[in-house]
Amino acid sequence: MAGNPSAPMQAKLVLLGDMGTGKSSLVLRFVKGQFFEYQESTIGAAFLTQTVSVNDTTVKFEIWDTAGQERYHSLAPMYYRGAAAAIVVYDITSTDSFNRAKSWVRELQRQGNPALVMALAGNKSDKSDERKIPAEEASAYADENGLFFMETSAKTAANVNELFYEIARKLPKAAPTPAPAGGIVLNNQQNAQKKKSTCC
Amino acid sequence: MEELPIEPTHFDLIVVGTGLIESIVAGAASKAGKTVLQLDHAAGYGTQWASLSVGDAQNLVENLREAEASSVNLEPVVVSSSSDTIMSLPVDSSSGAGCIYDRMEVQDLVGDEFRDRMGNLHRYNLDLSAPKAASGAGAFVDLIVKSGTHHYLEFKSTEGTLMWIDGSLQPVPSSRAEVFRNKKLSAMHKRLLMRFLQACLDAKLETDLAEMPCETARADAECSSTMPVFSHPDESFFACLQSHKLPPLLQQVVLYAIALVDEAPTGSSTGRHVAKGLTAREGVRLVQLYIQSIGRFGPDQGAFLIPLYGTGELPQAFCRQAAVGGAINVLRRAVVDIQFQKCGDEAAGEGRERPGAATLPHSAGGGSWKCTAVRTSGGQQLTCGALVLNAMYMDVMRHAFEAGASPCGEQRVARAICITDASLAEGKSQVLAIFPPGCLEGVTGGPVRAMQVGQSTCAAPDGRFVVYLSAPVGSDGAGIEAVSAAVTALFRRFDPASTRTAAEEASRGKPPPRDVNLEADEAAANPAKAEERCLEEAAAPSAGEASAGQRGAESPHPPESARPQPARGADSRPLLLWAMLYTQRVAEADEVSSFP
Repeated sequence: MAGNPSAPMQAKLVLLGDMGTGKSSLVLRFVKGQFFEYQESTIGAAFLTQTVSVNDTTVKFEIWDTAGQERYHSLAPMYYRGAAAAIVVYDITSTDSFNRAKSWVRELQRQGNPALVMALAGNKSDKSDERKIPAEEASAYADENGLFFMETSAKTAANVNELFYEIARKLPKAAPTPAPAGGIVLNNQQNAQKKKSTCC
Repeated sequence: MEELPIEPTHFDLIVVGTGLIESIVAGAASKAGKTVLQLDHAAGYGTQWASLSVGDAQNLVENLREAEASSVNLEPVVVSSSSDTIMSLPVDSSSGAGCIYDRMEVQDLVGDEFRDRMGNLHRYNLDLSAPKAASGAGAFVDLIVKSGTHHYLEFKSTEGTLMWIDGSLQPVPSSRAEVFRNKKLSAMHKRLLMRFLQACLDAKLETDLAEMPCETARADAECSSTMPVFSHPDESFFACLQSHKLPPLLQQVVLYAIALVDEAPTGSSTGRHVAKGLTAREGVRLVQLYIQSIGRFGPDQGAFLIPLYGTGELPQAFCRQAAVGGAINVLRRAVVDIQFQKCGDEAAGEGRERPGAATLPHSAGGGSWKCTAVRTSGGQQLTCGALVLNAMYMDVMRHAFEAGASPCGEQRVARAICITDASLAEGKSQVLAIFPPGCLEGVTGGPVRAMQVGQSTCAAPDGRFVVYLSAPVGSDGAGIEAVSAAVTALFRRFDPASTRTAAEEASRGKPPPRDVNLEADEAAANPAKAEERCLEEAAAPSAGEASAGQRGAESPHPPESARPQPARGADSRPLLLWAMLYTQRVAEADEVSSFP
């Protein structure tokens, strides 16, 4: 997480929020520019990546989706582990989802990573005629809790890129995450090396 | 929190428990396109594989005692109707852990007023199933890579191997570079060891050799290297080591620090480290695995990989992989009974061969039964094509299906988890330490392995280390003593005041009053241990009066511990802050048996 301007900075980003608030849709809009009216519950990938450049820094986001584990309140602690940023999503037409968003924020605060960049996203801003949560209320809550707040629409793409770019801008200022350095990630390339060595 | 009903209510596979084995099954089934539901009564993932804080580990021991006190034997209920016969088998997850662990005992050695010596108790990730270090070139690492769970995991490799030689831990060569660097080995011994390791690496052991047309072709292939490692693949590995003229010390290094043999020695008069059952072929394969593991993931990496944040990350990774594939994970949801349907009379005959159909529930009049559903604590009925249960339900299932129980043998492993204030090897964190059989006076049984982890794998706060010791428990209970003796040999005990010491001495090494015979064994073992400890401490050079204990070290030792006043000043061993001793039941197929 060091602010080396030449090499892209890897940043794990997690999404939290109730079922149906549009977490996966936000990711798909940002990463692939797509939107589906009936998005499947999970995106079926380990994580998606997208690289953005802000100022002198290139940030490679590694975006984790909940994979549906939030449905029965069964998210694995591994999910938050080492996250540099978190987007807590609620649906502006659902009071329940806003209350749940607050409890996700508390959950993240319990993880005790002061360097975590937290964003609160009021999604489905295109449905403003069904709005239940005034933007001012969410904004005030975000200010009190040190989050930054945006209303977004994965459907119209409003504020989606802005949300991720704002996170990227805030990242270099944050201190490095407390994970120990030098962990080995097992990958396929190393597997190939091994195959070579066993056949001789 | 009210229980949200699970939707849908039918799954191809229901998995009860989130341990590593269940999670791998769930992940594989989900990847294969099956609908999968994974349930766990606990609030966190991992079941007995979960990594626990110090407080959680202590609570587990408490809960286990309570569960044992209130344990009731639940009997299956059989209901027959005209069309079919259904058996409901009640299960109780709260007492399940008692099926896995036994003789659990926590020793809080520093006491409340010195608790801050342990640092932040929440920063510990203690693994009751021991840290599962994986061989870098082993099958488990391949599984992680092939399943895609490597995206979620990070590892650190071991940094060195130590062996208990002549009363202290000494580094032993575990790689080519270390053989050259080692100053204690003579040039001849270095050559012998290198030649042996090279011969192992050159040996062709592929299973397809067995399919070669004739004996001579096989022999040719197996002995094709310039110097054949063994004369016959079925000879004992020990004989193979001797034929290479390796001195006894190097034989122990190869057997216990490289091949990680964990068999108890046989009662042979000369060889105190004869691994009887191990053939040369198997032994050489283990050496090959070790050599191929070194440096597989980087030039300076050791042979074994340890997951960051503890072993509990492994099941989480497989659970997430299952969820990404569409499986549903539900925590805090216990299964209270399992329902079986009696197979038809014609099916009953074939049932014995059919996987998934259990036979002969002794309390239900025999016949074949197929699991069809489970009921959750909230009363919800969920049907399934197949059911996979955590090992903690093994006793319940055996009780109901006496003759139908799987033939999986079982074994117990004695374990100790020790929290210390210093590393066993200066400047290193992940260290493997081996006590070869017979190296601890008065203790029989197989080798004791100790794996140290620390802050660099997020297992402990900065400056603190967790050492996991393990030894297989023989029919004579030998491993328990061996682990206990190894703890005594490795660590210095906290000694703040004589009264506390007296209490510690009195409670030291005694299991909770569970099994009268075992307790008697333990008591019988105590004098031997005390004696061994005296020798141990007397052997330490007496450099001035005690300064090791923080205060009160000069206070008199309790009269009931009839041992000479030890000179502790020169004792530079790590200080033991907290310890937990127990035995764990492991299935034979479990990886546990091949590594601590």
